[in-house]
Parts: sequence; C-alpha cells; structure tokens
Amino acid sequence: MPSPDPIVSVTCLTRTFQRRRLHRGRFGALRALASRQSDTVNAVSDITFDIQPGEMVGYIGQNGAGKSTTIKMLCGILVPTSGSATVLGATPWRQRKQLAHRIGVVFGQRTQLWWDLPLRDSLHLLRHMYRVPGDRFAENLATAREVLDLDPFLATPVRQLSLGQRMRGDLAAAILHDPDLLILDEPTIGLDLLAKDRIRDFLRTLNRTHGTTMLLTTHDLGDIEELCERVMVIDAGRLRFDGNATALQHQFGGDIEIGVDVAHDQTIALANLPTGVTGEHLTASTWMFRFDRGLWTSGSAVRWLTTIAELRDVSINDGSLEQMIRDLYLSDKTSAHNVN
Amino acid sequence: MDWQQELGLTWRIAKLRIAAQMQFQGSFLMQLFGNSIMTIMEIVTVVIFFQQFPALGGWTLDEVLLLYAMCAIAFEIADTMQNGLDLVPEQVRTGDFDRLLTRPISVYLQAITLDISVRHIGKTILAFGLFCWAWLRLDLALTSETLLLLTSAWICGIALFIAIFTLGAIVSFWTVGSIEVVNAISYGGSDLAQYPIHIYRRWFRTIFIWLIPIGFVIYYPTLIILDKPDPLGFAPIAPAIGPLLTIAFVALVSLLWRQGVNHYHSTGS
Ligand SMILES: Nc1ncnc2c1ncn2[C@@H]1O[C@H](COP(=O)(O)OP(=O)(O)OP(=O)(O)O)[C@@H](O)[C@H]1O
Ligand SMILES: [Mg+2]
Repeated sequence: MPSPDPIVSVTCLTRTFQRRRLHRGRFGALRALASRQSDTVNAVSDITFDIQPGEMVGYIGQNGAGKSTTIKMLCGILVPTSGSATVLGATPWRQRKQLAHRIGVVFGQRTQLWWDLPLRDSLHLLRHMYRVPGDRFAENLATAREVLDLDPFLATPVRQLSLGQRMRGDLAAAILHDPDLLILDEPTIGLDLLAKDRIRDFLRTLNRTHGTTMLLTTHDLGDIEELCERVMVIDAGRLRFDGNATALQHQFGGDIEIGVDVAHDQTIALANLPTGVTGEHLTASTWMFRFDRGLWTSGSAVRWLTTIAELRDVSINDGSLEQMIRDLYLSDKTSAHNVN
Repeated sequence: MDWQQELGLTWRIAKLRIAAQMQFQGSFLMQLFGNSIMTIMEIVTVVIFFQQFPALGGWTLDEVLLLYAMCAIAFEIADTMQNGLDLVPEQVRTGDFDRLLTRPISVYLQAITLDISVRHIGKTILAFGLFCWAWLRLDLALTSETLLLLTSAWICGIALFIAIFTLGAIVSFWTVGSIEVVNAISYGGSDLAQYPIHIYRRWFRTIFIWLIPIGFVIYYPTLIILDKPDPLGFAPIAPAIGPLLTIAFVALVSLLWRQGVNHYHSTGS
C-alpha cells in the first residue's frame, strides 16, 4: 500500500538572522546604527523531517533553540534563508492565504483573538472569515464548549480573560474551521494543572475523532508524555533527535533508579544481582538500585525487588524526559539521531 | 475569498468592535464630548485669527471656513477609518503582527481594523455642520457640477489621507518607533491644507502640492466652487489631476505596503 503524502515535509530548512552588534557606552545606539557590523545567528540549521497524517509530534528544545522560528516558517510568517518546506501540499510562505484555510495556529505567548471583543463574537467572526458551514461550526463550537469549558466566559471581552481562559479560547478559535494540521507554539505555557489537563484532553480528543495532525512545542514535558509518541529535539538550530519518545528514553534516559526501605529484620545481599542491576546499601534499612534500561522497566524492576525483600517503601526515579533532554544536551553526540 | 467578501468581513469586524466599545467603555460619550470641544476650540481659533486679518490672501472668513470644513471632513473620516494603522509599529516591534499573517484575509484590511475608534465621529459631524453653515452663508448653489466636485474631493481626500497614514505604518517595517515622524507628516499636512495655499513660499507650495497632492484634491475644488481667482493657474486641469494624483499615490503606497510586509516576512521583526 502506498503511504499517503506527508502533511508536513521539510528539507534542509535553514534560517539565519542578522543581529546588529550592540555598542556600549556613549552614543552606543548611534554607532550601532552607523556601523554595518552584525552577527549572524543560525536560528534553524539544515533541518529535515516529515510528519505523517494523524501524528502528534512534540518539538522540544531549550530557549532560543529555534522552535518558534521553525514554526513561523511552517505557517508562512517567515521566509527561510534556504531549504524547502511543503505543508499540506503548499509552500507556506508563497501560498500563505490558501494554507491559512487549512491549518490552525496557536501561539501560547500571544492571542489570536480580538482583544476588545467578547469571546463569542471572536468565534463568530472567525466562522465568517474561514467560511465554516453552519453545521460544522455548531458542532465544533459545542465540542470546544464542552471539553474546554468555555461557557463561563463566552460573553467576556478577551482582554479580561485570565491566561488559562484565553488559551482555551484561542484553542477553540484555532479548530473551528476543521484544520487538517494544528500548529501549537507553547499551548500550555503558564497554565495551572487543571487547565493543562483540559487542553491536553481536548487535543487528544481532536486527534482521535478528526485525525488532526499536530505539531506542538513545549517546555512542559508532561505535554510530550501525555500527547506525543514522537518527539523531535532541536538544539542550537540543529535537529538532535527525531523519533519515538520511549526510544529517546532508552537512548538518553540513563538508569532507572529505585530506592527501597525494607522491614527492620530484613537485609538484601548485594552479591549475585541479576545482570543490569547494581545496588548500594545506604543506611540501616535503605538500599538504592540502578537498573539498565535496556533490560529492565520500572515495572519489572519493582516486581523483582518484591521477590527479594519485604518492602516498606519504594521510590522510583524513572528518569523524566527533562532529565533525558539535559543528558542529551550534555552528551557530545553531534549527529542527529534520525529514526526514520 | 474575493475582495468584496473581505470588505464585508472587515465591515463586520468594525461593527462588532464599535458595538463592544459602546457597551464596555463607559467613557464613550465623554470621549465624544471631549473631542467635540477640542474641535470647536480649533474652529474658534481660526475665526479669531481671521478677524485680525479679515481678508487673508483675498479670502473671507466664510470661505476659509468652507475650505477648513472640506479638509476636516476628509481628514476626520480618514482618521476614523485608519485608526488601526497607528498600532502597526507597536505590533511589528513586539511581533504581534505575526498573527495577521496566519489568517486567510488581506493583511492590510486586518491592520486598519486593529483598532476602531469612534471618538472621531463627533468631529466628523461637527465638520459637516460647519460645512453646511459656511455653504449656506456663502449662498452657494448645489448644481450637479459642484456635487461632482465635492464628492470627488472627499473621496480623493479620504483616500489620500489614509494613504499618508499608511505610509507612516509602512516606515515601521524598516524602522520601528516611527509614530512621531508619521504624526509630523500627516497632522502637519492637514493643518497646512486648512489655510489658503498661496500664502506659503513658492518652493514649499510646489513640494506640497506635488508630494502630498492634497492641494489639488481639496484646495482646487473649493477654489472652483467658490469661483475664486486662481493664483497658480492650475484651475482648468485641477479636477482631473486631483483624482489622477490620488490614484498614483495610492498605487505607490500599496506597492510600498506590500514591500513592507515582504520585508517583515524576511526579517521577522
Ligand atoms: N526576528 C529575529 N531577529 C533576530 N534574531 C532572532 C529573531 N527571531 C529569533 N531570533 C533568534 O533565533 C534563535 C531562535 O529563536 P526561537 O524563537 O526560534 O527559539 P525558541 O526555540 O522558540 O525559544 P523559546 O523556547 O525561548 O521560545 C534565537 O537565538 C533568537 O534570538
Ligand atoms: Mg519560542
């Protein structure tokens, strides 16, 4: 069976910025203006990836890594320095308007809504702007109202909404026209746990019921763990990892650490441990074990531990994605780990 | 989406925003009142000024008031319609302009509706009132010829003023923080056109007419309606030149706007 066309196809995408060098001291601004000196910033360097229909891809990296720059190119806001991108069959920066009809964009940092209009009016305006058929609009609005719980603030002007309410409004606005692709730049930034849950729930529902493809950037690895099977890691403009989130964990997660507290009369012999396990006696009743991720999962490790001692307390450090990414940055592997 | 639908949508946005302002801003009437007071003061200044010099450049007070009102009507309507453009420099600086580029309609139409201000409506009504008053006092006849001159003067005047405001916004694509420069150009231009042109020095007058062709668009139609002697000798061709200049200027500005947006696309700020 031929595989369907990818929703997003990016080849050697590169974007550099010229940044005027700042001059310190007197007349610094004037001198900066007068001199033609500038630094080149490689915001995005030679990035290549595809996104298939229905995928939910997490795009992560440190501040300034190049996530937003990539996203702006995919939306057609920014023209790349070199390389190519095809989104839903169109070149974003050339066919911006046509593409706008088929994608939904959310920038967590800034609202897409009209600040002085009640949320309801904004949504109705968008309905006209995207020429959404009446029944589709009604259905999408109903879903959004239910899952995102919009009703309490539908009549409130956007500028009076709290951050979490505004973000939910923005999300509803982005999906009214049944976009095939949803591009989300930090959709959960600054939100409390409940609001994050709502948004993740909404995105999951949308992906399941409509098969909407999603690309989202985030600094909250909970988003990745709950939503994305696939993750791409960008660092200093370069794609450092592209693949399964579990594979990332395997590659860079380090060992699973489990600390145990055993009953007073018990002891654990550290000789003859199974392969892939190391242990350490910490205090009278506590031990610390490390399990090789290639051979063990946290589940199998705990099951094994229960067979060798009566455990009173167990603390598991399964290596958060965050930890892994830190390791990834620290590790000196320069090539991208493409798992395609 | 064709341009008619886009215009319809723009009008819909404007209507909703005006409604929201009236509903949520309790100060709406106060603003309207304050602005009207300011305009009345302005008119009083002109009146007092002309009582000192009763026949400046051969123009009577009523004639000057008519010219003033002609210009003010075009300017106030333009100012009401272009209000959102004032926000463009700030949006470009902060990157909020991005959001206009993610929507499937004209960036320009979105930009002019970034902010809708109804406070100019009061001034527009006042300007109309003043115009009617001067018109009646001068006992001018409303023929099909004068009607044509008036409508063409206003349409071109509004288009020109909006184009000039747009020029100011365009500048910000390259140099952010340009609001002061813009105000110097457009508001300064409006003040100048409100007095008879020929009292200005020759070079200035020439630049003024050709660069910002408001002279042809407002001054000459008024001159013809009032049947005043023409100090520069352009009167016979002015009714045709005004619209032509307007079209050329608007075309130039829309080209520059497109360049500006492209520049934004390529710099991201
Ligand atoms: N318009 C611009 N002009 C100059 N440099 C820019 C511009 N936009 C981004 N950059 C630079 O490009 C690099 C990548 O920025 P980008 O916004 O893509 O990072 P990011 O991964 O989204 O970071 P964050 O997590 O902080 O949002 C940074 O070094 C940034 O300073
Ligand atoms: Mg960013």
